[in-house]
Amino acid sequence: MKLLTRYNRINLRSTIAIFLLSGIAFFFALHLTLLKQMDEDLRIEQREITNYVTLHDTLFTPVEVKDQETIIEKTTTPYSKEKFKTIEVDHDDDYRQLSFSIKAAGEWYNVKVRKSLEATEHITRTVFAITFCTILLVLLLTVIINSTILKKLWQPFYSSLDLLQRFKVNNREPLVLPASTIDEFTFMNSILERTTSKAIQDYERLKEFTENASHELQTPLAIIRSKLEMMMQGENLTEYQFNALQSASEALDRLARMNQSLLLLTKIENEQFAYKSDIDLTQIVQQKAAQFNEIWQDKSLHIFLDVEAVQLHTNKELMELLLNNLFSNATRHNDENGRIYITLRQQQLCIKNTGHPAPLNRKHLFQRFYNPSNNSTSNGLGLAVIHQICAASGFKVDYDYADDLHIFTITFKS
Amino acid sequence: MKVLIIEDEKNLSDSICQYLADENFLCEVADTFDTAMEKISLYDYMCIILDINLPGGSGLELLKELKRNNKNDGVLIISARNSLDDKVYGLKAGADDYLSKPFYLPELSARVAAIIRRKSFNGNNIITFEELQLNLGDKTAIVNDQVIDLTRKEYDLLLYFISNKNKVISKSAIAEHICGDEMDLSGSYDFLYSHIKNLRKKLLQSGCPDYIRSVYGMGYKLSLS
Repeated sequence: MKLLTRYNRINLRSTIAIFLLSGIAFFFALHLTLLKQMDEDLRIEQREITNYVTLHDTLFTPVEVKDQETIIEKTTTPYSKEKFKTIEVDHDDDYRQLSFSIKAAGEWYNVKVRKSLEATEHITRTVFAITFCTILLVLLLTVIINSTILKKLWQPFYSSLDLLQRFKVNNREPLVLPASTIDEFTFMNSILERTTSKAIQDYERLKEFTENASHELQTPLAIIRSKLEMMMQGENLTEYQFNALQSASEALDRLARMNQSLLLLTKIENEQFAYKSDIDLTQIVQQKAAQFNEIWQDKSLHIFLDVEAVQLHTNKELMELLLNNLFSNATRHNDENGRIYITLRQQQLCIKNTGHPAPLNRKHLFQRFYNPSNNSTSNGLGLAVIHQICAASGFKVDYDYADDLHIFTITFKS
Repeated sequence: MKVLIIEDEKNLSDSICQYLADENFLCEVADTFDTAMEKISLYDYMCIILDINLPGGSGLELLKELKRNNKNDGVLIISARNSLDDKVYGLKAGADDYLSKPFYLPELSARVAAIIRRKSFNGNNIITFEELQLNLGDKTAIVNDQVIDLTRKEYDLLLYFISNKNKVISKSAIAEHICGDEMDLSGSYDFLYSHIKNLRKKLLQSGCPDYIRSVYGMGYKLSLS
């Protein structure tokens, strides 16, 4: 939920609650006040009647006045006390009535003075309507003010957020956020700028380290390999020594290959393959397939090659490395007598292969050193290299598993 | 045949020296920029194995110096920096070949031999091992005046073996020579077996003794006994 929506929601709810409560309180207060006023009026009527009786010791015939009634009845059972009451007359009009007893010329009379409540109710309704309209108006204004002013106030925050979202640590461009007059935003921006520039620095340092480490490893690797090869030439080696030499050589080959892959990843990240030219992808795919043909035959793999004529503007070396890795991957993780489908279309290259009968973990698939099969011949960098090449070339790589086939799709234009 | 190894890692230059010495190369070693500069200005070598990163300067400077003095020494660059740009730059500067570390000694030896052959005989010559003759010009193998019908890869294999005769060559070194280093074969070198089997069969059929031996399943060796 957006901050503004959330704020508006809370704000509206509390405003409505407050207005509702105060509205109800106001209604009752008004009602009671008006009723009290009415009772005062009835008391004045009563006083007039009482004064008349005191002066003349007789009762007058009541005069008909609009919205007012006076009923006088002779009685033998006078009221014990005077009483205010709201009553309904003729089923539609509400009246306030004061009933009391009075003695005139030695006789008891019950007197009822009534006044219509219609005017009072009318006032209450009008006031209530006006209040309700005001509430609606206030709410409407609140929403409008919030959505315009608050949006404007939070603008620096959102533009910073937008820039931050587009920030990439490998772009080497430091994050520059717009200046703001609000202290909080200035503070936030300065922290963001500091953190991101630190991230860039760390990333660069890590990359540098990987590159230097890989390069520095090459010479010791060369020394070890040369020494092993010299030992191999020994005339009187025992079988045990040969086996040990072989294991050491194989381990060294793996190490050398891993180092080569790490170097390659670093070089791609450093954009050392930026040069692009128009290449005939069809030809390169066919050449690579021819190179792999022997290994495929050796593993008794069935190859289904289906290529269209495709021209692409990209780095040739990277494209060859990409194909190498894709083909190696499809070969290495394949079964004896397995199948590989290579399909080249204008927009995409698709490699499908048989192999381990379960989908790979899509989340970790392209991470470095991800090696689900724990296959000792795989260093877990092949897919990372594929991913990196695609990212550097502006391609998209997708993995899918269907019909017992592992499917890697490279989409050229995204 | 004199070869100069310009490499600051003594352990590595020792191995190279030792390996090449068996091929009748006379090796000298320079381990700094200055000693290398002195040696190349004083003597002529058939081939110079040149490391780029040297104490005291860059190997590429030495290469430029050679070209300035119109020296005809063959140059093979061995560098820890494996990249196409470095390679292109080195070759443009006048090097004959480029090999990135960590290399296989048989590969180095074969390339040094190839450079020397190109320099001495203009690339058109014949190398011999017993009754086996390889014509490098038209890339054919001849036994008893008869051309053996070899595929391109079988011919490459045979040349590689002869360039490293009497040496055990590991399967991975052979595979990399045949397929190039960009192919990630990851230990599956079984396809080599059929190539070598075919090569041996063809050689035997043409009346040439079987000189190629398997060594404990680790690699192969071409030798008389």
